Amino acid sequence: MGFKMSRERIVDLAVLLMLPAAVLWASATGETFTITLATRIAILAIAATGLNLALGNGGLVSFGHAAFFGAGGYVCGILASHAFTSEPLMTVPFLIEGTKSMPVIWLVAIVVSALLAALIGLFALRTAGVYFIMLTLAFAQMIYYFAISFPGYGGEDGLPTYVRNGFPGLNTLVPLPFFIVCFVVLALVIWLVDRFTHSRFGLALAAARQNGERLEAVGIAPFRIRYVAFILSGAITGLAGALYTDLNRFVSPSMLSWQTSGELIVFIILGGTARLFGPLLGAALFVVLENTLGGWTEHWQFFVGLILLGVVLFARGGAIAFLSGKASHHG
Amino acid sequence: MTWTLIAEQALNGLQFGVMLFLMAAGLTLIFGVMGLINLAHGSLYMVGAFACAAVAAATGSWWLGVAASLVFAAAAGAVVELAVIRRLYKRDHLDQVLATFALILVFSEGTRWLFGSFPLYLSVPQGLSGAVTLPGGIQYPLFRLFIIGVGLALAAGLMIFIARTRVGARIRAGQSDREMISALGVNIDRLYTLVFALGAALAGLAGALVASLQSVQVGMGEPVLILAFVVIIIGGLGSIPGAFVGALIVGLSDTLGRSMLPALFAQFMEPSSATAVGSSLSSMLIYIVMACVLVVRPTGLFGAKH
Amino acid sequence: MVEPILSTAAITKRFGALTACDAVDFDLRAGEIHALIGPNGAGKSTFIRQITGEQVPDEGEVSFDGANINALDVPRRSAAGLARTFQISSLIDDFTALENVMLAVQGHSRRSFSFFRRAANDKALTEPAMTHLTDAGLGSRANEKAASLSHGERRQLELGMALALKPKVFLMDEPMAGIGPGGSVVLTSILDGLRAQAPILLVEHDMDAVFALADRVTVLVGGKVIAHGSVDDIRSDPQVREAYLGEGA
Repeated sequence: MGFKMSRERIVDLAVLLMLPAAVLWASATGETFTITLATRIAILAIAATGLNLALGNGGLVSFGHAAFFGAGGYVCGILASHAFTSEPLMTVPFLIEGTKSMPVIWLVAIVVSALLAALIGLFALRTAGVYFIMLTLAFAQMIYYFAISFPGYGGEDGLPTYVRNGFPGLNTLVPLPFFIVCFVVLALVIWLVDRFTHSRFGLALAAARQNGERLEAVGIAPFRIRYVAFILSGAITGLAGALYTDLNRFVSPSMLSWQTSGELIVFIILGGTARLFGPLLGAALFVVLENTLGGWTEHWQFFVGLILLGVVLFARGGAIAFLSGKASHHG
Repeated sequence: MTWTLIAEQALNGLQFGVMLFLMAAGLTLIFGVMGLINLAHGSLYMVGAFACAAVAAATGSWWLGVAASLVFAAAAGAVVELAVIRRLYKRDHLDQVLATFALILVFSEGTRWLFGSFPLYLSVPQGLSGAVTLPGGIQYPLFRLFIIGVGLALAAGLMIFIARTRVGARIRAGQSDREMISALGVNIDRLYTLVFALGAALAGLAGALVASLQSVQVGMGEPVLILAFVVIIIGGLGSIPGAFVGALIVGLSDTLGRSMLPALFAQFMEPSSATAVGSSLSSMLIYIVMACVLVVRPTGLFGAKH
Repeated sequence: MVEPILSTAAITKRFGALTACDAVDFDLRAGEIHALIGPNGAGKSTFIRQITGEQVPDEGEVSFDGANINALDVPRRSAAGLARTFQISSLIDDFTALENVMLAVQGHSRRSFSFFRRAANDKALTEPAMTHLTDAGLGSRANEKAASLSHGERRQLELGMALALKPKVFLMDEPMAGIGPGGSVVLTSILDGLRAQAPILLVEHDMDAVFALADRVTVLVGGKVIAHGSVDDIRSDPQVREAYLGEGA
């Protein structure tokens, strides 16, 4: 037991350090593209770590987390574009102006996506199982179509932010400082989720996943636990969305699409459900796979699909389990 | 907005509704009998549309195209069931979601590989082109009426099939008690493949029918799939009558909402913002309807109570 | 006469044409074990579900601690002091025995929304949990996963969780089900000691245990109470012997 634990710890640490290591190597050799790739992995890992709080720890298979990812993305895009044009968002009842400050944008992104999760969760968490999957998917699709048909912020074409937003004391226009910002946020998020899952709340959440009837019998209402988990999960994924817009300097409805929701789940499965570093490893594997296969064939998605099928059908437990020699399965 | 326009939009909604029913019926059957959530159902719809467009273009016969869509979609369904889906029945929903999501990638990219990225187009068959005059003087395309007729006939046929035939009885037994039908000596593997292929054929037919109304392209299946989910949530999981009622609710409210809400808002708003608000709201209308149904009946209109 | 802590007044529950629970009166007083017995299908489960809050009676009322609790849901009834054990052990299988009891302590403390402090280092959880686990006779198995416990140990763990809720009433749904004679002797002695902490509503098939433990017995047949009294009364009641113990006629 003790040996395996430590082996899992070592794997976790290695997974966390692989991004800075890659970036270090890339800065030494001047491979800017690799830094951007590592930044992308870090941001997607934040989003998937957020989803994993609901999916892995809470057993809530949300197929609609693109809604929160996109909401955070649009918060960033909208605030930045208003700052760019110097037009306030609204003047009545009080004045709200755009901003180019990352911390402010993050805060708004977290609040907005948490509110959206509170609204969607209120309906979706009344149900369970397949209903929950279909409902989260449907509500995310509703937000997607809203973004397409609402003419204000670019509609189907998306919204450019032109210049990356700023962080006090750093030049975020240069790839390396922006990577550091994203990586620090990722580390903080992983630390936070680790805290959550080992707290009283985490104990109740794990119990809600495994046996809601038992949780009720000790006087804890599963709905409230799941609801809070869903909101926290949505807020973290929303934060990642804001960073993603800054990475691409662009936000479009594709961030809200069902494919995005599906890919977030794929990261978690590739890495291993309910494992703290699983989403990070999964996101890294996916992005590297996408780039490697993408270099060989334009039909890389075909092979990603086949590999994913293989993983789901034959390699349950994900890559972390494989690396740490622990043949565990989720559930 | 005139009454004839409203009637025309209502017929469009009905046509959209029966098409959604063909999708939702397969999904709900597969869930009801096998307990499986199948995201790749939209891919089977796409297979049907491509098969119809390609075969009709090659042979010049729309009818052959429709026949091909049934054959190809059912065959694709059966192959997928045998190769992948049957390993998933005992797995949790997360594995089912993931594996069928992977199937979407394979089907979509595979189709792009075969047919390229450009959309295919298919014209309305000769005998069904043109418009007919309905009572009240409404001019309406014959082909859309044909789709409504086919959809209604299939809905009735499906309900009779499940209520009256031996296979239907097994499907009903499978919905209520999976162990029992295997105890009765029914070959459950064959039944599952059959149900899956039947659902696939219905989806493929839906794809073939709309192939003459819109462009045939990769990715056409998933938006329809998600609408079919909305249909099932409203109608109740596993219920064919529920899928029918849900499909009509979604088809009608979506079509009528899109055509009427902007005009409605124009009554008391300036035109440009009326269009903006109306079109945004109408794009969300069916989801709002779905949320309302859920508040009143969490398991859908025809769903079993918890 | 002592005021009962838990009582039902003519509760009735129908499922279509079947009346599973027909105007049942029942009461439980401090310090006693009141057994509810009856053949399969007598409506015992339906009765207990109306006490736990999983089902609401069509007619009549359930009173607890002097108040009508018909409108309270399961978690609220549990928080109010009604602790139940399940007919089929219901545990968190991936948790250790200690973690299962910690969860119950946490439920009783009503403080689940604490996000940062590690539960495993939270003495307000671990210390009482260990005490209750020891009381249930499982102290030495604290770090075993619930899934790896034996059937009898799972029963004991259920008891430990019920103890941690510091209930005013124990609801025990067939605690002896499926355990061998040796295990049932252990459980019987644990239950015997428990009545001092809180009275027990005991639903049980094991007649030896019922006759050894119960202060009073109520017999349910076809959803109706057909007899009620002390163990001796019930043993000698001809109606019970005929309808339930399968004698006479």
